[in-house]
Amino acid sequence: MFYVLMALKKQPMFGIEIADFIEHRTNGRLRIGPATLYTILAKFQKEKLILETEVEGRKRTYCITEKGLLAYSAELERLYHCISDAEAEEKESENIHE
Amino acid sequence: MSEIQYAYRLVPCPSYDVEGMESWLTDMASEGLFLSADGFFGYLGIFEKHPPHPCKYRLEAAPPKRAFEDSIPDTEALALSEELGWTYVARRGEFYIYCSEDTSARELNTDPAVQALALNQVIRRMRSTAFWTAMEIIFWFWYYTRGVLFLTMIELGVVYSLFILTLILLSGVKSVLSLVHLIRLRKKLQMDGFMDHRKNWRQRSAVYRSSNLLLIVAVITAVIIGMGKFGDIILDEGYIPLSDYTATPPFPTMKNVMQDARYEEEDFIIPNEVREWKTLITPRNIDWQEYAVLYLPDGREINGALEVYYHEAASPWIARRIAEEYLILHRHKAGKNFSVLSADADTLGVDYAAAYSGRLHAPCVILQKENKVMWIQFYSLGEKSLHMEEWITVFAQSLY
Repeated sequence: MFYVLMALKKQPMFGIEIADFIEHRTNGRLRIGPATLYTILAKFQKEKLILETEVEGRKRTYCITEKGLLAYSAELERLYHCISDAEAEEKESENIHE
Repeated sequence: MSEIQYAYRLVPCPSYDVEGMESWLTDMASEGLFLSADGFFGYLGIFEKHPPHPCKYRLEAAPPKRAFEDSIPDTEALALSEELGWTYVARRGEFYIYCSEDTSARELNTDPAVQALALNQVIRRMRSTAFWTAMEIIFWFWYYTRGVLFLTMIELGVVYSLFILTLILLSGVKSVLSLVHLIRLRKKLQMDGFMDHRKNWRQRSAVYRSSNLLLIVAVITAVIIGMGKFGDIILDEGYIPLSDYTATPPFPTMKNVMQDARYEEEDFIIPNEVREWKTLITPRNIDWQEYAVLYLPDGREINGALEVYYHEAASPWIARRIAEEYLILHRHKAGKNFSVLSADADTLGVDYAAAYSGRLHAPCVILQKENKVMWIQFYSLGEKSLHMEEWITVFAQSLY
């Protein structure tokens, strides 16, 4: 879910562009399925984290909202904390072993 | 160009068995049977025959069906799926079915937590549907029986009534089972458990197929019998003229309700006829309808109609329920015209007595003693009438 907001933070995109962005950004580690992406887009739209801006044929372009940016920042911060906690724990473990 | 050949197969599992359905369709494809577009007709799956090749099928939670709208996925979902190698094939129940012939195509659902989220909508919808269906069934059941279960069973037959009740209960059980199954699946997904796309669907297919066939046969039977019974009620089937009735009724009739009265049979307001039948809970039932003129010694000339429903129940408890249900039924039927009249069970020497004036403003009496119960209405036409007090005792004594 985080990666969808990351994609739309970069620029407005439509579904397949989001899927490609995620695959590219994660070096193919994460390949989001169409049903998963569609469910996330619908959920984010409902929660007003993203907004539909344009409809071109069967494709819809989405952009991130202010609320979405805040949610993205909050999640990013949470992940930073997770990483720094993990790093601190690793350092402590190394010191004990030394 | 060769014409496409079709094959038909009974669906081996319910649509909510997502893993079973996906595995079945994938196995069919490996046998050269590919689900055709919108390829379901009731419990039948319609397949196109092609040379076997790998093809995987996946189910995705669908939004609610809307009337007068094609029940296909949203255009964006279709476009997204197609670009990532998936084609929409059909809808089955609450799920869309997609297929992919590209073995390297990414899965339709890559995040179990998100899939659980989509499943959540289906569960909520099914829960709400099950609740309102149950409410509707209870309401209509109450409306048609007016809360008089035993009288309905006597009229429609115990076996048939229980049969209908069982069908209603079975449909309720089916709803609950589907909900339980989906809740378990959601729990599995929430715990990061991926779907089993190679589930052994054969394990329970015989049970599912035969239970569905039985259900279809049962519903058709219920409808046919129901129509027959409805026809019998409309056409007054089972009634014979009083003159052809050779048995002695176990209650007073117009002929002997008043001592020393002269009796003349008439056939004016209601036909003079009787119906006698038996049910499992009431081995003897009589519906007696008689119209006659009584000339009493005191000079009164009574144009009267006597209507009696007499039941010999399998037990005094059932007899009491029937008596109470008569009161409920007629209170409901009479509406504002219902007014209670005095009838004391102890004085009359019976176990239960109730009297009221109903829709026709005629006195009606319900009496029960041990396993016998009867509902009596005596309707007098004209100025002269026979008072309830004059005949209620005679009817009560017939129950001794």
